[in-house]
Amino acid sequence: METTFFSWYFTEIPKKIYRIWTNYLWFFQRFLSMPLLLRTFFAPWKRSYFVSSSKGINLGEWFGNFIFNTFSRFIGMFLRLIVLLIGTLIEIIVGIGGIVSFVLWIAFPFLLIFSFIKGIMVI
Amino acid sequence: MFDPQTAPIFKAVKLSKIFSLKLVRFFEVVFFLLFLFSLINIYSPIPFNFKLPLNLLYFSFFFWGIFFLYRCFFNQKLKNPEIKNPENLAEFLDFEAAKAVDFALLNEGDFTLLLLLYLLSSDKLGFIPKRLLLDQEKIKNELKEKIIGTRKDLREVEETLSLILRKTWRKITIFDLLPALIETEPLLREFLESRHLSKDDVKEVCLWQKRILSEEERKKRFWEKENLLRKGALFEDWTAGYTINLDDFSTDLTRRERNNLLSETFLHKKEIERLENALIKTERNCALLVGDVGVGRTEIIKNFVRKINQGESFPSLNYQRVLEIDMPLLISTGKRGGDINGILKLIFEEAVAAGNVILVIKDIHNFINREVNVESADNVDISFVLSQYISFPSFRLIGTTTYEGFHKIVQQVPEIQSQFEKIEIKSPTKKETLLILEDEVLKIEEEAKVFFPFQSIKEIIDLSDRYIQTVPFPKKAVDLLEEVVIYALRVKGTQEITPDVVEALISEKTEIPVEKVAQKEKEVLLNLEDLIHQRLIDQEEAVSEVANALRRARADIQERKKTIGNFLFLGPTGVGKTETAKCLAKVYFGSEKKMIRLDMSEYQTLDSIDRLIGTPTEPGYFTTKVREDPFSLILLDEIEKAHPNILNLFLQVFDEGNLTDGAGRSVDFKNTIIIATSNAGAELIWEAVKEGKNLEEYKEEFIDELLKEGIFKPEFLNRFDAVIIYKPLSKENLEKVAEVMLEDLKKGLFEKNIKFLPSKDLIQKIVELGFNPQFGAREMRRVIQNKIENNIAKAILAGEIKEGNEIEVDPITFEVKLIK
Repeated sequence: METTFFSWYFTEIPKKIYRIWTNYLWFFQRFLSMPLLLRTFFAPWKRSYFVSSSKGINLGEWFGNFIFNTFSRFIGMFLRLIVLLIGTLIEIIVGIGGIVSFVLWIAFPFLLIFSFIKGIMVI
Repeated sequence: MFDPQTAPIFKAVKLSKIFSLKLVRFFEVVFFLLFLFSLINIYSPIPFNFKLPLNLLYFSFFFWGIFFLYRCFFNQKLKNPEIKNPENLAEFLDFEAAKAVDFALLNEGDFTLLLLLYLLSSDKLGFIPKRLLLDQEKIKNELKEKIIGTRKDLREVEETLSLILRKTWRKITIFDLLPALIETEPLLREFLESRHLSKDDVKEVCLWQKRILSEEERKKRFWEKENLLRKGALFEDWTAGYTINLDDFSTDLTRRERNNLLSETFLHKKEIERLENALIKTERNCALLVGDVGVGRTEIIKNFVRKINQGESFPSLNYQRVLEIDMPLLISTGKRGGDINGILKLIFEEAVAAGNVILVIKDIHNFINREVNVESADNVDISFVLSQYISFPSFRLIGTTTYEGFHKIVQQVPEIQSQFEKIEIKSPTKKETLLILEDEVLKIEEEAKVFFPFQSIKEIIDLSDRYIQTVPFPKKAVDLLEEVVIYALRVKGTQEITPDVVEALISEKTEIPVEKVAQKEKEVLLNLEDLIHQRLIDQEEAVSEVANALRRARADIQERKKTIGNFLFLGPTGVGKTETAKCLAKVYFGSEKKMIRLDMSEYQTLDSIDRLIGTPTEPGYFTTKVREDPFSLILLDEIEKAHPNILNLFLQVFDEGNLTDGAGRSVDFKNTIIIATSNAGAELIWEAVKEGKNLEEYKEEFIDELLKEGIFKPEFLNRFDAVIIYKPLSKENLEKVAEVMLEDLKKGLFEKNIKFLPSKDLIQKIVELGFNPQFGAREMRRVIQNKIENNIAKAILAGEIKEGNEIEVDPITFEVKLIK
């Protein structure tokens, strides 16, 4: 039973913690649509863009469209950047949270032994 | 081999007996609270009146940790050990099952009985006897009595476990043990049989309970991807175009289904896969779900949405928005503004531009109408706008339609039909419908505070299958389930919906005596011959054969795979063939209206098959009638005149009890009695009677003659349960027939408070005038009408007869005479 306990404690549960941890890392990037925002980082905001409606070259229209489309892309980039930054921050927190849980789990038995010894020593 | 000593799971059972998990949990909480309290007491900035020793803090933390670790280790590892020795059957048991087996092994008495006793006492299995309306305490007491004095035989254990393993080849749970015990334990089997339950019923309820627990378990694991996905995704629409108008005219199915997980037992898996495959194609990427109303088309769309919500479909479909266009709203708005197609164009454009939208239009055939040029209140045509967009690779649409709508309307617009991948949806089986109802029952029970025993759920499926043919499964069963709740609460005033309540509702709805052969119906069945003879004179053999067939069917002696009975009545005109059928319909089915009569002389050509069974676009007269009223008598008059191919069609009905109509739907004939009549060879019967032959003995010769003349084919005649020859009526018979005919007139007058007393002479006169060997008794009805009814009617209108009078009719002049 002892070997079962140690293998469970030091291999199975860490694996489980790892799985839950990666699930949450995956969840937040999915919840905030991060890969999609990254893929479409330079895309116009809400697909709003103009294309030339007339045949031939109409410089005025082309210039107007160019300005609008550039503006639309900039808005998109700006908002996406904000979300991506917040997302990255959350991912870092979740990442650190995962590492802390992992370390705490490994250290837990040692903490118990330590507190038992400490309890005896205080007497 | 069965060795619990070496199986790790039994060690866990032993350990759980020493350290009860409940106790461990209790200590865990106590030490944790102590730890918290010590922590606050020692390190709080506000000093307490007393100071706890510091070692209490360390020890409470230590003991909490120990109990916590023990509980986690026990629950996660010890309770679920790996199978190391597959030879040892004991290793295949899960923790609960091992506890049950351990109980049965340690206690004195027969293993199987003890195991059963443990299972019936288990909280986790309490659901099962309750659902099956079994008295748990009664069975337990019976078991306890039976256990006394019995001895254990370990071979029984091995037998039971290997029996389960042969079927499952995975860990054995308590839900597997109970059905297996029914197979090995005669006491339980007898007990169930006495309550009309089978082992399959118990097995099904066990599986149901197992499914409920597993669903609960699934939902509890909040850290799993499928549960995390239910939170949805923010900002996803940032990369998609605006859908302002589309949002106004649609329902977001993606959002609506977000909280619903895809059930483990969802139906129509193949159809959903076909739908996914259709939608990812670059061409023809629209799908059309074709099936009858109520077959589950909406459910398929819902499950498809759940699947893509959970990210279990193709990458190009996962997390897309599925929007169902609210066509009634669009049409009413369009009519006010005057441009339905304009709005539609706008929302289609938005859907294409958004790039993440899959549209749904339900009953699309209702909105395609090429024949109208002007949009009226009833006629809307979206086909022109649809055809402009449907070929776009970025335009994805799921349409639903019926078979009729598909053949009649969609197929008529090739540019639309060619862009759709047609996916036919078949009705689920009874077993699949049971799974749906089990889910529905739980929801309804919670909402309406009612209780459905398993028998009632089965009854709903059986009765809706048998008596409702116009609606397919699962809709007819789900509708009945909902109706029976209202019926039970309002009419019966009960919250427990027993099978009787379901039967009573079906009887009311269909006017069919569904209840288990009730006393009154029993009497009707037992006296069927007498009841028929109240109207039908003589023809003993015919009546008795038909009555016997009906009694067999209603007593449910055997599972019926064909019609209740098929009979061929042969004989001259006017001898009572049709009258027998009418009597039967009235006596047995409650009314003469329960008779579907087909004059087969109208079906002499091959193209008349269409009128009978319909075509893909037009429903058939005969099949529609049977679908609407499946519990009826079918009278095929003058069968010999029908086209031979039409007769071949009936071979399937006689053999299998069903017929496929022109639209490809199966029509059930299992609750019909089919009577075919023919006067072919009537002259032969006359001759035989004249020669004084016994008709019973002559029957074989007569049938041979008919076959020789090619009137019927042997394979056709062989399909009948009985071929019955009607003998010509004698003068004595005809006098009785006349009496019966006058009986109807007497009854009619009696209701007007006029007493009519027909004399013997009058009856003889009617026979004398009406007797015609060619037409049998039929001519007599005409005589009664012309000579008697007409005269009485005139006398009533002239005021010669009044209420309270007694009258008679002169046998010579047919004058109406007042007696009183």
